[in-house]
Amino acid sequence: MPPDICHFTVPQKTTAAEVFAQLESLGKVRTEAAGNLLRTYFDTFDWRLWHHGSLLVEERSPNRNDVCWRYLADGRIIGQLPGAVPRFREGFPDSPLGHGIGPIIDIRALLPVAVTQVARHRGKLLNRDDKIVLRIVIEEAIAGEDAETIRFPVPLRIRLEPLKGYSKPFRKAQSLLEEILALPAAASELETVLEAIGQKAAGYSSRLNLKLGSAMTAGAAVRIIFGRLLETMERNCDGARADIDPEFLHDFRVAVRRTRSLFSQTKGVLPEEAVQRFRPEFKWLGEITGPTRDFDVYLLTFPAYRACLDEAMRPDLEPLLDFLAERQRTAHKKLARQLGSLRCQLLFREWREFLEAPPAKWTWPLKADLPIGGIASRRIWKACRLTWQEGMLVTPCSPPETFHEMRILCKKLRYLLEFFQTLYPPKEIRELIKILKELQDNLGAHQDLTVQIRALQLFAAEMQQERKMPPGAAFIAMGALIDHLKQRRLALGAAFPPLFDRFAEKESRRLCKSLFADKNRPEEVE
Amino acid sequence: MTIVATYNIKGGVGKTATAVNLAWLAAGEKMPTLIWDLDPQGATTFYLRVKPKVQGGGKGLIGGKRNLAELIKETDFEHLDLLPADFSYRHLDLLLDDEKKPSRRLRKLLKPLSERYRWIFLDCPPSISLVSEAVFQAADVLLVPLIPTTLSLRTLEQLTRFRSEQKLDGLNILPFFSMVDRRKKLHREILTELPRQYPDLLRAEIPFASDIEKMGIHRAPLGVYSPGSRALEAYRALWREVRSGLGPERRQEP
Repeated sequence: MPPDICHFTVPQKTTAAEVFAQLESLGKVRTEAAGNLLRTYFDTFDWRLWHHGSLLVEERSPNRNDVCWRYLADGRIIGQLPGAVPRFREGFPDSPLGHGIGPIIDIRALLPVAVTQVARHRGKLLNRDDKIVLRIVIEEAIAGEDAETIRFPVPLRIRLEPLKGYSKPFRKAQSLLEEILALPAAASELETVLEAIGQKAAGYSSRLNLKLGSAMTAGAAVRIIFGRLLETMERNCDGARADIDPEFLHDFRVAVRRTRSLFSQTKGVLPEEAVQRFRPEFKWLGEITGPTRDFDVYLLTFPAYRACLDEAMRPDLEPLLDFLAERQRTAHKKLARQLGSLRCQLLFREWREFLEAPPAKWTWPLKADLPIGGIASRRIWKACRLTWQEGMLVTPCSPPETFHEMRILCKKLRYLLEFFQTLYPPKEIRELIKILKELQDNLGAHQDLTVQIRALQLFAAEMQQERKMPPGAAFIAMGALIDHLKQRRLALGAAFPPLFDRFAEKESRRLCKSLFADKNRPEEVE
Repeated sequence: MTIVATYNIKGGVGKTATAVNLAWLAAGEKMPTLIWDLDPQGATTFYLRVKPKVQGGGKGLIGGKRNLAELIKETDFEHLDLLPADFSYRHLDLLLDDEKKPSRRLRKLLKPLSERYRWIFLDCPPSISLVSEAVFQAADVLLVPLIPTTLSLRTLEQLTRFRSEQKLDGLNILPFFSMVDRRKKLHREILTELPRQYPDLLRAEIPFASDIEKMGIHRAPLGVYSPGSRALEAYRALWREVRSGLGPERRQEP
């Protein structure tokens, strides 16, 4: 196997010419005139490409524009295309790059995270036969958050590209750079650039990533969780207002729901005045974000709607797409106004002030001083038992409302497990969440179908009122779609019992009991 | 992976120039390409500035002691790799003879490279021997350069006869004219006559050109030092024919 490409950064002020001059000691170095390019790094808001271990760049040089997808670690190219980085995966042409990147970014928008202006110097180390035995690329760059702010110098970056069958010159060059120039092994290219502009990669995640200790007081623990959820809301608010992609609003809403759930799950822990002041406000946030999210979901599901109809019938569904898109725009316009309102700003500001205020500033109930471990275990154990109890009553023929209630119970349990998971052994909690997630996926899909069936019936009536479609063909298509969704809902209902049995089986119950029942409280686990 | 062997019983007909230039054109289309220089004279290896040396020699290679992939050298051209010649290849016949099923040996050795390369070119030594048999078994296409002389006809007949004797029905023999000098009457006559008898002859003609001879001076494929030359155009036309389904642009009767 040939050695891998290796990278170096030169922290001190060194020029490309000086590095090439050093490499001359290994043989003749043929250099090319430097090429200038503007490189923009892209990732999704939640750094999906970074987590995948890759980076996407757009490189503009005077005569071409390329999109390049590379591995973070060694810069090897995964895929390349001429053109510009599109905002969404649908914008990529039918290509290996598009096919590869699509499932990673999914529905998220690609956003610029940094820009560099690069002078790229290429060199080749030749042997006695004038054969290339090593390629060297040196980049001198300045960086910024965008094209207007480019001014921060990035350490000189050297890339040694070995050629198959010529590992010796590569190793010699590697040693030379390491020993003579005393160069450290480099961080990834993106990390170096981000560091130069004072940023950090993976600065956002929709995961809670909490670190609670079971001896921590309940008051302190809930403030940490609420604080993290508030941060998620704040980070996503601008994106949701600008409608960059639907995930901003989704993450925002999840944080709101989790906040509301935590209010109800930790009754008696927060000062009553605070509950009175803030709890209704989060309910309001949940309500105002609902309509836009619903239309987002319809639009995201639309390709699936289309796919479940016969090919001949598919075009007949287009009026529905126009209708949904228009409704989404209207709903979002209203939402953007509400999220930018003084009420919303005040809520975030005052809620943060409350969470960060010294405990003495408010009258906290005595329960707030109890260790969170015990409270968490009791709440989770109660939620488990309730879920098992109610789940037993759900049959494939149960009305949609029963499935919905079951879904809410599971969701509450899931939130509790996620809030407090660091209080318990990670492997067991992960296993439990996994089983619960399968059940939730089933219930979630069931409820979505119920909502969609009702909504489609309503839309058909509204569309007719607004005369947005010829009644015949589109009506028939929507009717066929509703029938199909009903069939799918039946199938999901039938799939519920075995999934529930898995969650409620003896082994799962034993596991829950051992984790959450009183005698095994987390204080002892620790 | 498609394996193309440039082959002729006769030497000096343009096999190496064909292999190098077509492989360079294939690589230019960003298709991973390998040339295996099977000729102990190592002309392909020389043209690509690589040392004609294989670790463990032909013995290690044919005996399977050496992994073929480890012996590959990257050339100066993107997507083009070389398995260099070695002087020990002069005993390749004997080495193959030591193996079980010698005529299938090359195919077996090349099989692991099928994921890695779209095109593999085998530059064969001139002869008809056990090495040739192994090449015929390994190759999908036998690209046969023919100088337009009376002997060409004989060569072609020998080859087609050999193919039917050996029951190599899957082997696609693609002859084409090489080193064509239209100033010569004989060349012109054969260029008119032979295609009538052999409609499978490819349409492209590689001219006798000093540009091609200069490959030895420049030690590079033609396109590197003479990108606008007539000879390169001829190789491009030949490559188009080889690549596009191996022969759709067949010569038509005038």
